[in-house]
Amino acid sequence: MSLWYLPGLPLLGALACGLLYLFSLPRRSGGAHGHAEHAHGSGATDHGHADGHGDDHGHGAHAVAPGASNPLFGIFAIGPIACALALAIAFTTRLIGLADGQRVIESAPWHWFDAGSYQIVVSLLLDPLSSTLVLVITGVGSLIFLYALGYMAHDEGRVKFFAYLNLFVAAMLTLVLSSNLLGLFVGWEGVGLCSYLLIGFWHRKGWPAEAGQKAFVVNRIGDACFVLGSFLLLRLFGTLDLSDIGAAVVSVRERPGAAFELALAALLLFGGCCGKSAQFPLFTWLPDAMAGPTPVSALIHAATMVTAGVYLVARLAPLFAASPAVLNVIGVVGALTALIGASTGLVQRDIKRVLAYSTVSQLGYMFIALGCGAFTAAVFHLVTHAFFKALLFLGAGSVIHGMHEEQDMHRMGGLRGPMPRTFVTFLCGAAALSGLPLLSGFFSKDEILAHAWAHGGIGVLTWLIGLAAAAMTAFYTWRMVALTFFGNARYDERAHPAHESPFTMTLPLMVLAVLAVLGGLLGLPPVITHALHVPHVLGDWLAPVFAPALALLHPGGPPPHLSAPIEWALLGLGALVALLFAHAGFHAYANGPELDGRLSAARPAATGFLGEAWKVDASYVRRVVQPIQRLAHLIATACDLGAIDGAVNGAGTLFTRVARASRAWVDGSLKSYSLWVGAGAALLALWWMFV
Amino acid sequence: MSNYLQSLPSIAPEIAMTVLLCAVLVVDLLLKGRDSRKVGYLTLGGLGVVAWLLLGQWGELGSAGAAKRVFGMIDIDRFSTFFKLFTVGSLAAVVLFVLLDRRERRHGIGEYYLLLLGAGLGIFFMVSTSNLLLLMLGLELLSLASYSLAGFHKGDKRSAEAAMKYVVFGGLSAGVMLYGISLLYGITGTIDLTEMASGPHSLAAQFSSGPVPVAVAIVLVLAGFAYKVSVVPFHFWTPDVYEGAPTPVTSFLAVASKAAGFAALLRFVGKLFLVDGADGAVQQYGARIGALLAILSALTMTLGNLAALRQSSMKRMLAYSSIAHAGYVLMGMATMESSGWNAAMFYLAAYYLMNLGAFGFVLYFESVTGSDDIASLKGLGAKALWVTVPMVVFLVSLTGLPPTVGFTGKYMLFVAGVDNGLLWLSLVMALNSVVSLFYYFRIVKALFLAEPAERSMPGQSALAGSIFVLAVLTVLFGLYIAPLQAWCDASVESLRLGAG
Amino acid sequence: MYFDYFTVLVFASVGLAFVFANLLIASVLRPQRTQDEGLETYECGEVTIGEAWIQFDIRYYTVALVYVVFAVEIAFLFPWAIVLKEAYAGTGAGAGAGIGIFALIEGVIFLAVLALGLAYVWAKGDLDWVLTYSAQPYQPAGRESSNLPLVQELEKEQERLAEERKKAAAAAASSEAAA
Repeated sequence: MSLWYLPGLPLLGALACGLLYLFSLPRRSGGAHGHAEHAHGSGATDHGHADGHGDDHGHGAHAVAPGASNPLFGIFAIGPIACALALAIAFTTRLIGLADGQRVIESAPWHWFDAGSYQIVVSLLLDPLSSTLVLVITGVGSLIFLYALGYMAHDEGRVKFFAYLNLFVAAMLTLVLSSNLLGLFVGWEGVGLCSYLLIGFWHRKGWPAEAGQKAFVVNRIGDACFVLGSFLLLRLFGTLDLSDIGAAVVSVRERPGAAFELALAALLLFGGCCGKSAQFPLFTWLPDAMAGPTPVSALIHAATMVTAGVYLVARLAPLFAASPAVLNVIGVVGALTALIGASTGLVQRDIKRVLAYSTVSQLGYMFIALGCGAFTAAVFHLVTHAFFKALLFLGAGSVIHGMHEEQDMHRMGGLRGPMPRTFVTFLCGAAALSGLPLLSGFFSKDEILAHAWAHGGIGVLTWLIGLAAAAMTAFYTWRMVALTFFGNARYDERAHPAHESPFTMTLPLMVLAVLAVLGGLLGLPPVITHALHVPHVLGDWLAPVFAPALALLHPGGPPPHLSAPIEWALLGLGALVALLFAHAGFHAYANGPELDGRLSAARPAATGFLGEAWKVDASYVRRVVQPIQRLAHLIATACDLGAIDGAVNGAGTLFTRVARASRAWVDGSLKSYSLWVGAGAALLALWWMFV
Repeated sequence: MSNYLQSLPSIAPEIAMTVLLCAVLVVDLLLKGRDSRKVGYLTLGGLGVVAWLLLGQWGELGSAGAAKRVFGMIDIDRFSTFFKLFTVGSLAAVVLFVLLDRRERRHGIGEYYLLLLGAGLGIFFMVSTSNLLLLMLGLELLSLASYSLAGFHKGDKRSAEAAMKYVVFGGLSAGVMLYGISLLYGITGTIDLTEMASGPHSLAAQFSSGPVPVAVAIVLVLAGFAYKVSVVPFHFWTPDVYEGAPTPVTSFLAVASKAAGFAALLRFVGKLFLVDGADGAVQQYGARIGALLAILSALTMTLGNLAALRQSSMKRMLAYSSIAHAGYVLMGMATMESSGWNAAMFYLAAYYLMNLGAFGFVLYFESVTGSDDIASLKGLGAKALWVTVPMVVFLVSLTGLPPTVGFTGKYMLFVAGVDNGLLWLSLVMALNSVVSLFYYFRIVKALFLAEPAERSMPGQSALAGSIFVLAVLTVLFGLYIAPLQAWCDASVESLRLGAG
Repeated sequence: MYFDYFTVLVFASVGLAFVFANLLIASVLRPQRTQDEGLETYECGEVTIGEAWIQFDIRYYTVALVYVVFAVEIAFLFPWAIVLKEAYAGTGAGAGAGIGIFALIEGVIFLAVLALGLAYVWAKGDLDWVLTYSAQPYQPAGRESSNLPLVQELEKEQERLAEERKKAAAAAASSEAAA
């Protein structure tokens, strides 16, 4: 069983779904314009499955979902990722069976191409780090696929949707499994493409298409940095193989002048991460990406794709560890992002936007951890975040589904009655996100903050910001819970009664709720592990992967552990802050959203500033977009129309004239042709002899 | 006797081809001209056997590493096997085209396959010999079959005209070439290229004593080859013949026949001038040949592209485009270095794929619209996406844009040109690629940017399927370069080894 | 080397000079006849009909090709037959141990292929002067007229001839009517 099956199966699923969709499209034959028009018309209104959720009957009459009626659709949609999950578990079991420190499974290499003296050989590589990611992707992915089957049940494009979703999983698995930076880049661009397609999935509505474009364009900036960084790495190391780069960092750093280039390469790669993982200043696309269907937000924009940046830094940990300055930059950027995200989440009214900004800030936490060299902590938070944030998104999706496409929390309220299963599971997710003691989010966040504290120097600053962000996180999370599930119903209960979602949607919620609650057991803090004599599961699992990087970072041996009292104190502080602000947030909004109105009336500037995410987007428009537009206009009129079009048209005319002339030369007469043969041979001979 | 018998397995593909040819003849006779499709199927099956034999031979040559010479005349090396394989592939495609040509008769066309096989057999000998006599025989076998094929539609005046022009022009060029060969024989006393390159009366010795007759002889032989591969100014027959001949025949002439001409040309120039450790005179003459080829290349690609700009007939346009492509291949040759020759080989392989596909497309639409006018394609793009999208792939590849095999080939040629001091020619090629974009995309424009036409498209799934397969290969080899590159390199390597 | 070609030049010049000198001498010496009969193609009195540039039936060509089959056969079989005996003996021109059988089989194959070709022509009816088997002439759909210059000229010429013939017939008819 080769590793190639892992990305291969979802790819096959994508192909199968895509072909199924293509072949089931209504045929537009010559005379049947009316039919095609009809299909168009129903498509325009049917997107968004706004009609008739309360009654699941009556769809058969008009539900033209190409391919969905095919009995194979379910198999094509869910089968590949389920198989991939089984495979991932099997491979991980095999990995566990290997000796400590030799836990690597590598697939057959594929000699892709040669470029000059560089051989690009791509293989897939499974080690503890990538196996963790693969398990998260296929595990959480399977649940979300199952959920999406229910969520998209009334969408006419659901077959296409699953084609994209499968393609995404294939690309994501390529990203985390590739042993080569170029292969990783293929996955990186692949997930970017799928993200674009899925954000704009309901493109007929208009703004999702624009959101997709925004995500795509902003990511291009990051990707350009990524590519430049790769070039620099190729120049420095002569290879793009990830493990070779990791092994050669020390020797390359010894070369004169290489340290700067190493740092530059690392910084450029981090630029790529900023795009993909929505870090300051490139985070603005992520909140808009919520225009996509909610399962997409859960899978791509919370659990998997946006963590690709974290994965990249962790994967190339030795490279980053070799340039501490870059690590500091990462830490500061992460802290800033965490603060911006959390503070913006405080005043959002759209439930998905709250979660989006929360994702931004949680990703910021992961980069704080990376900045302190706490790679394990970053991966730990990545895993727990995948659990609870996917849970929250899916729960929000369930709420939106049950509320007939309502996303404004001011028009919700009291939903714990009609939606009990969603309510309980959402509560678990919220508790984990806000870091209430003993839940998964609590342990992973605490580990990051403890590392930041222990890092000292700039780490203390990031610790402080992280703690502030944690407080805000607890506040907005419980504000969201209170506005959604408590208080009075602020919607028309009789016209559109809220309803609980079907079982295919709530089952994934329950599984994820269990994971969100118990996920913390993967990485208990040292004081507890010492006291109970249990291992830090994830830490031990990942230790061999990060050992070289940590050795580089701490040449004088590992830094001493925090003393037990300090650690207890930090734990206690975190728990206290979380509880306090969770309580405050809940109580401020338990009876309704009136506080929001009072605040915006009293402090319009401040709430506006926070509501628009510190006006980053607006300043982009003013400082970047508009000048470029002006420049583009100038180029379009002066250079393009005048100079280039003139030249091209002139050249075209010239060529056309010459062509007309040379056409007359070919007169179809054998005599003149023969003459040319003789003359040609003679001319060649003469040239040879005399020129 | 044992010597002769032991040599026979080496030419098993040729023998199989001959037996197949006779079998086709007999079967056609037995069928009394009824349902010639059966003959076509027999041909396809036989070609499969030949391909299998060739593949076995390719493998053997790899393991043994050494090329063989059979009967002192036929060189069995990777170079020849490479071209034979591609010839068999394109023959199979052309036979398929004939079978699927909806406008072709179903009965009484057994000779069609017979003549195609005859032409193929001629190519087999032409690409695998360094004996000028056998080369000429192979060339003539190919030519005679091609003349008849070009005029296969006797009732069609244009087909008849094409055949007539082809015969006269071909005869003239064959005469010119034979005269050159006879001069070479007179000068060196041998008709074997290997002996000509070394030996006591080698060309090198004659160079120093009397350069003029040698120059005349070589130029005359080159003119003969130039006719076969349509190099300016020996290209005039090409558009008329391509346009008049039945479309499957045109694809055969444009692809297999032209590539065979290049194979023979490569061997001729390679054996004489691309020798490792050649003495100064030979090297000097090699450089001279390179310069000559460079000039011809620039002329050919430029005139071919310019003339293609204003064509309204697709076949005529593709004819001029094939002239331009001959110029590109010549550019690789003109470097007179292994890297350039590898690139030329690669480009020839690319040329096989994309041109076969393009002609398949012409065939598809000819049977729908009844003409090969570009204007008649208007608005048909969305009607048969399984064919039009592959056509876009072929056009993109012919233009030389990624991600297709045409791009890879052109890129290699470009790099080879720059590396070997032919920067000016590389730039001419780049400019020409831009020019070619104009006329290639006229087809795309007609297909997709016009008002949708009302015409209904009868399904031709088998033809569409083969076109689709070619498109997939065009993209596949554009992305997955290594194997094709390795084959090309091995082929050129064997040519050099044989020469040394 | 150059001198060798100089001989060729001398040879060619002498040859040319010989031809023209003889023509010159003849024109000086021969009696001058001015009657028209002297300029006829056949001075015996046979009057020529039309020109020599007429189209021959293509079937002459087929027969000529079939003749070539036999000519090639003889050209190859004659030397082959002569050395075959020596080949068996392994002496003389057909040297090579036991090449005889091989040569015999080769000759038989050669004959068989040629015979096959003859049989093919025969079966296709190309040996009959009046064809027994003929397929429908090929008429491609939607391609009535060619845009090749030569073909266009031919078509125009044919149209013109038909027109003239029609005119002549009309003139004859009118003159008859007048009479």
